[in-house]
Formats: sequence, C-alpha cells, structure tokens
Amino acid sequence: MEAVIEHFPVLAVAISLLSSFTILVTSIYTKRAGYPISLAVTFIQLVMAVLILIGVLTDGTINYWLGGWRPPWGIEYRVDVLGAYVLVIVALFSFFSTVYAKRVVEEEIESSKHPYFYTLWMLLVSGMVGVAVTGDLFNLFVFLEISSLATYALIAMAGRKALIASFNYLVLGAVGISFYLLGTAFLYAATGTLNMYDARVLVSLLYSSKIVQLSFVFYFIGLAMKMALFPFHIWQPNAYEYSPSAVTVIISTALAKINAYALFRIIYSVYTIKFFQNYGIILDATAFVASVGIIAGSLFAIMEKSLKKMLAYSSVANVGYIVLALTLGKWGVYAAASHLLNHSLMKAALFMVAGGFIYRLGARNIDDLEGLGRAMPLSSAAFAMAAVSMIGIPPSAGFVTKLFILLASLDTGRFVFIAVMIASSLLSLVYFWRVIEILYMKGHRERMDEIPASMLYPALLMGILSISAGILWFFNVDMLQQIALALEVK
Amino acid sequence: MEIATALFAPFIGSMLILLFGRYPNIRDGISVITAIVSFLTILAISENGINSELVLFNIAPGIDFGFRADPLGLVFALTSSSLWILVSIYSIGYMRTLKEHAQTRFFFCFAMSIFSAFGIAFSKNLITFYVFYELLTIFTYPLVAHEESDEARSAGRRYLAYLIPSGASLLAATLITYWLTGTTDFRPGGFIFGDPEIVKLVFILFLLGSAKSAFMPLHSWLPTAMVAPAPVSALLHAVAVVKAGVFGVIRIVYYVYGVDLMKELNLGLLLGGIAAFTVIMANILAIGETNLKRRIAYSTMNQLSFIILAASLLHPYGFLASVMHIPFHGFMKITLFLCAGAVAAISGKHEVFQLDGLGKSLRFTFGAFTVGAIGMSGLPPVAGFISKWFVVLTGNVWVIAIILTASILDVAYLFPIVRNAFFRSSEERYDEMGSYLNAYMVVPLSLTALFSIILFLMPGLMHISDLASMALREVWGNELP
Repeated sequence: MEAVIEHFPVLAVAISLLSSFTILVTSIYTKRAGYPISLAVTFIQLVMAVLILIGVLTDGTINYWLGGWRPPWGIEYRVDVLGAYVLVIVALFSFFSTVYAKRVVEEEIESSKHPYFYTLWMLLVSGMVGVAVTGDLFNLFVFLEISSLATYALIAMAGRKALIASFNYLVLGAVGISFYLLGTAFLYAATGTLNMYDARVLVSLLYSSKIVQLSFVFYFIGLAMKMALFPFHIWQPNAYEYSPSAVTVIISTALAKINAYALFRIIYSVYTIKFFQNYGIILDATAFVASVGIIAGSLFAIMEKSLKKMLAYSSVANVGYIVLALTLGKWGVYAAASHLLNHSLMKAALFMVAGGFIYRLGARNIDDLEGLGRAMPLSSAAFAMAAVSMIGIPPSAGFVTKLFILLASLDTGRFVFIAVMIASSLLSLVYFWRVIEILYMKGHRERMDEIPASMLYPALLMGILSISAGILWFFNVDMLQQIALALEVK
Repeated sequence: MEIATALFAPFIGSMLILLFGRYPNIRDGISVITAIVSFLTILAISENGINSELVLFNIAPGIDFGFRADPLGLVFALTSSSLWILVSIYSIGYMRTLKEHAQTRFFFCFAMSIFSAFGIAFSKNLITFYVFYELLTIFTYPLVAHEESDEARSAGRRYLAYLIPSGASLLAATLITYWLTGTTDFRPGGFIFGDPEIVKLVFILFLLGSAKSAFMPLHSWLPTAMVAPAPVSALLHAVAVVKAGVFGVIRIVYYVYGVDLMKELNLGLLLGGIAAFTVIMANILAIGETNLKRRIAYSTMNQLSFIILAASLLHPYGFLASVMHIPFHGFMKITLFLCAGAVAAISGKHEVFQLDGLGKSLRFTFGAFTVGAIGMSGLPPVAGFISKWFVVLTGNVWVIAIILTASILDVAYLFPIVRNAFFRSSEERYDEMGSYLNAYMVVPLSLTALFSIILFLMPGLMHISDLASMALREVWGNELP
C-alpha cells in the first residue's frame, strides 16, 4: 500500500489534468459528460488525498521525483503533513463544489457551454492540487497560473458584469503572479535553486542579503494580491458577486486557501521562522497589514448591501486572520492551519446558501431575505450555523481559530492582537447578525421549496461541520502539532 | 455519568423537540419529560455524587473541557432544573392561550438555554464556563426577539450588544488568567496570582464580563428584554440568565480570587460599591415604571445586586446569604413573573394601573403575587427573609442600612399593586380556572408561591442549606469562625 501511496500525489494531478481534456473531447459526442466525469474525478482525488494524509501521518513525508531526476535538477513533489492536509481541503471542497455545481450550472450557463465550463473547472482543480503537492518554487508558479487562468475564464462565463469583474481580477492576478515570478527570480539569482528544501538550506546562509530580503517582499506582495489581502482585495467583491454561484463556492474555499497555503509554505519552508526572528520588522509589518485588513474588511462588510459581496469582504477579513496567525509562533501555526479548513467550511456553507437564494428567488440583497428562516428552514439553518461560526461563538469552528490566535498573542506577548481579534469578532457579529435577524425575525413568508437537494445537502453538511469541527479539532491537535513540528516551529 | 445525563438530557430533548415540531402534543410532552429527568438526576447527584467529574477533552495544556458537580454549582443547577419543570408546564398554557407563532423554535431554544445554564453550573474551569455563557446568550436571543415586532427586534439587538461584548471581555480575562497561572480550574479559595496591578485589571475585565448579572451601568438590556413572552422572562430573566451572571460573580470572587486576595487588593469594596448603588437605584427606577413586567425586572436587578453585595462582604454569612438567595429569589421572582404572564394571558392587561380589582376574580394569581411581594421585601414567612437575615448577621451597619432602605422601597412599589388588585372595585370578571389552558398557568404559579413559603420553613429542601454550608466549608477551609 505504501508503495502505491507514493504515486498518489502525481496521479492526483494527472487524472484531473487528463480529465479536463477528456471532457473537451467527449463534447464532440455529448454535451452532458462534463458533470459526471468531474464528479468521479474529484471523488477519486478526495479518496487519494485522504489516503495520502493517513500515509503521511503514519509513515512521514512522501518524496516523488518526476522522471526520476534528482532534485535540485528535477522537479520534486514533496508532501508533508501540511501539504497532505491542504490537499485534503482542496479535494474536499472541489468535490462538494462539484456536487453543488450541477443545478446552478444548468440554470446559469447555457447548455452549449457546459463542456467548456467543466473543462476549465477541472483545470482549476488540477492547478490547486498541484500547488498542494509540489516542492518546487517554479512548479508552484505554474500550477498557480493554471488555476488562476482557469478562474478568470470561469468567472467570465456568467457574462455581462462578470466580464468586468473577471478583467479586474485578471489584471491584478497577473500583476500578483508577476511579483511571485520576480521573487522566484531573485531567489534563484541568490541561491541558484528552485527546489524549496534546497533553497531553505541555501537561504539560511544568506538572510542578510538584500536580494533575498527583496525576494521575500516580492513573494509576499504577489501572494497578497492573489489571496485578496487588504489593500489588494479590490478585485474580490465583484469577482465573487458576479461569477456563477458554483465558481464562487470553489474560489472562495479551495482557491483562496491554496493561495494562503502558498504564502504559508514560502514563509515557513523557504525563509523559515529564523529569517523573521532576525528581521523582526518584516514580521511586524506583516502582522500590521493583516490587522488593518481584518478591521477594514469587517468594516466594508458592514456597509455592504449585497449578500455575496458582504461575504467577500468577510473573506478579506478572514484572510487577514490567516496572515496574522502566520506571524505568531507555534499557536499561530495552529491557528493558521486550522483556519484553512474552518474558514472553508463556513464560507462553503454561506456561499452555497447565498447561491441557492439567488437560484430560487433571485435574491441578491440582504433585505430580500425577509422571512426565509421559516419559509426555507433547512437552507436558512445551514446559513445560520455557518454565520454563528464566523462570529466565533463557542464551540464552533470559528471559535477554535479565535482561541488559537488569542493564545498565540498571549504566548508571544503581543497583546495588541487580542484587541484586534475581539474587535473583529464583534464587527462580524454586526454584519452576520443583521442577516440572521432578517432571515428569522423579520417579515413573514409562506413555506416554499427548499433549494434543490444537490445544493442543500452539501450546504447543510458544511454548516453542521462548521459548528461541530469546533469540538472535533481538539481530538486532532496531534495533526497540528505534527504540522508545526515539520515546519520546525516550537 | 450522572453529570452527562443531567447535562445532555436537555440537549437531546431539544433535538427531539426540533424533530417532533409538527406534533405539538408530543413536542411539549418531551419538554416536560426532559425537565423532570434532568431534575431527578441532579437531585441524585446532590445526594451521592457531589464533586464527581467528567472531562470530555483537552483544549490546551492545563485546560480541559470538563465538568464538576461541586456544591455551589449544584445549588444553581437544582434551582434551574426544578423551576424548569413548572415553567415548561406553564409555557404550554401560555403559548397556546395566546396562540403564539413559532412555538417549536421557542421550546427548542428554551431547552437549549437550560442546557447552557446546566453547563455553566457544572463547569470545571473558566473556559468551559465561557463556552456555555456564550451559548446561553445565543440561544436566549430568539426568545427575546420572539414577537418579531420592531420593539422585539431592537430589544434583541440591545441584548446582544450588551452580552456579546461582555462575553468577549470574559474571554480576555479568562485567557489572561491562563497566561498568569497556567490553569483555569476553579478552586475553592482561589488560584489566581501575579502582579497586583494586572490581577486588579483582570478583575475589572471579569466584572465587565458579568453583564448578565445586570448591575448598573450594564443593566439596560434587562428591562428591554421584557418584551419576550412571560415564561422567558420568568425562567430566563429571573433564573437562568441573570443567575448565571451572579453565579459567575460568586465563582470569580470565591473560586478564582479567594477571600484573602480579595481583601488584600480591596476588590470587595469595588464590587460592593457597584452592587449597593444598583440595589438602591433599581428600586427607585421601579417605582416610576408602569409596565408590570418591567417593574418586576427592576426588582430583579435589585435582588441580583443584593446577591453580589452579600458576596462582596467576604464574610461567611454574606457568602451563605448570596448562595441561598439564588434558589430563594428564583422561586419568589418566578412567581411574580408567572403571575404577570397569567394576568396578561387571561385578561390582556400589562400595565400596573389596569389591575384594579382583578384580585377578586384572579384569586390564586394575586394570592401568589402577594406571597412573591412579601418575599421580595424580605418579610417572613417567605424565604427571602432568611437571606436578608444572614446579611444582618454579618453586622455590617452600612450594608444593613442599604438593605433596609431597599426593602422599604420594595414594599413601596409592590404592595400598591396587591392593594389595588384586592381592595379596589372593578366590573370585569375573568374565570381563572375557566379552561384547562388557564389551569396550566395557575397551578404552576401557585406551586412556586407555595414552595417560596416551604423554603422559609424548611431551607433544607432539595439539600439547599446542606449544599450551601458545604460550599462555605470548601471556601473558608478550617479558618471558619
């Protein structure tokens, strides 16, 4: 079994890459093959990802040399605990987004374009899976670009306003990825390697080199643009608002997390925590930008009338949580790692239901949701559970992140972040409770059909998980400890 | 094991309530049965399971998510669970008489609130306490905003605006305590140590975190929350929520800080000052209030601060007074609220000046109200007298003066209601026992009134006095005079 699992990382990338072309080819014969193929492939990936995670947890890191070329000459796929865990997140949310996609895609996209939609969809998935497994900086760039290009096209498929949203994203995303490439080039100039683990060793001798420091700044800015960290978030609200509902779900969960993961990886596996300890100012600046993002994102969310845009601004704040957590030592790593999953669970449920409301009622604004709490009890319950978790009410998943960040700031003696976390959790109370109040406590509507089952059940599952994960995490602290250990954070 | 049964019975009950939402009789039956089951289990624990523990999982080094049935927690749990039985019967009558909407949501949230209250009572440490404290806020919100009118929505908003930031403050205080001491487990006699300035600051954070006990100036959520249906005001805003607040204060004073540290840092005076101010001010505001439920709410604020005041004396008798007043006040105040609710449901009257002559037809209701009013004023033969007497025994002249003034004010705003109801004439006649739904309301409120008197005669009922004195011995150890 062990021997088989070693090949899973590359297989996971290969099958989705191949499937996207298969979908294109089958479209000559039938326009309806896209959905079943995508569903099957993402399911297989999910199974593989879980097996990889179990394998990595028991037997340690998987190294795979593409074509048998030894690193640093060849490309290395390297899956450690963090990579395997992120792979599971990507596979999980790709699978459930695909389940969710069927009905909304039928509704929102004309049937002649379905094969193209699923072709792009699987390209997006391959890019994300690739980022999770690769151990090579340039290869990571390639996969990021695959997923981004697929996303630009997917967003634009909704037509009209989505075209502008997609173009804005394209411009900022292209600038961001160029920064990433510049960072890689500078690092290559200084070290002569593209392999992350090779670079880690070589960089450790060159911390004081201005080229290395500059390369980090480029990486940070580039990925901040991709993950919509404030003030580079401006593409995000429109992209989330106007893209097809299914695309919103996958890019707000899996894709957003994969960008955050790339930053996580580069901070801890290439530059390592020692670099930051030597240059505290970089750490402080990062934490400051993240804190401003947390507060600003929450404030924008309060002012927003459209449900999906409000959720988008909440994502801006939550990306801030992850980046802030990355600067806060061991508990911070716990917080960042757990929030990758927690935030995906919550946002998946929220966007799935928001998309469902648009599907059923065309309701985009928060004020249009009056009385839905009793008209569609299950859909609203999924939304409410995720919203409560976003506010960080114990014992939900959101509370786990909040608790870890608070413990981290006490542990590192940076008390100001306690205030930031509490302020942001109160602000999120304001904007999420407004929705809950309108859903449950205002207006009256007759009972109506719930959103379709293929959309409702994934949303409910995510909603229930976003509450119960808060307890489940404490049975899985081992994994977080292993992640921290693998990244040499103590 | 028994703790798990007692704690999770309401949780499972609430899930069943949700499941059987379409069958009102089964749903309401589940409510009552769950209440009885959890009361009996808690009674069994207080007989032979004191200090039993249940640890579910570990949160961080030194913090467990766990429960412990200590004497103080059992007093609170017994109060909530015994009254829940009566109130769940009462709610059936009240909700059906008024043909309220969203009854399933109501009973679900009610059971979840009680679940949270039990969690608070049995918390082993501050983190567990905090978790249930927040849950209680969330699950009482739908009950406060139940009417779905503009007024109810704004009351709900205010409720959250006070209690959630307060909860955040509690969390901050808890984590700083953890940072200082490496643990958050409650220990009789206290466990916190550290730089006096920080410890004082943490105490203020804890106080801000206790907004549920409705001391001034963090009180204004309580009168506005009276827009909720009467059973909610009765059980949650006279017992579960606000008692969770004062219970938390007692926990923090005696199980986190301890008598010695409180005296050393002079924190008792700070606490007592706030409480004394609220005791008087709440009663003065009550005189000017014409809505019956809101007037009783001000009386609740007064009595809660009485509990805090007694606790702040750091005197064995003061401690006994504060602990015993939790069940005593629970029974008396719930009587008043249930009466107010029954009057509103049967006659549709909410204002104090509308009640003239109603005592002639609503005999049991106003009889029970009289018992409650006597108890509030601290007169025999109702249980309220005992706790006030304990405070007199502490011999603190200032506090006795404050309590006497408050009692006179109590008489001044509660007895006119009784007098007008019985001795003024009115043309209106209502049949108190006219339908079986009315009986669902009148029987429970007569029982709580009866128990308020029985508790005066036998304070040992449900082991309350035993548990209180056990808690006293825990806290003071061998130094007890």
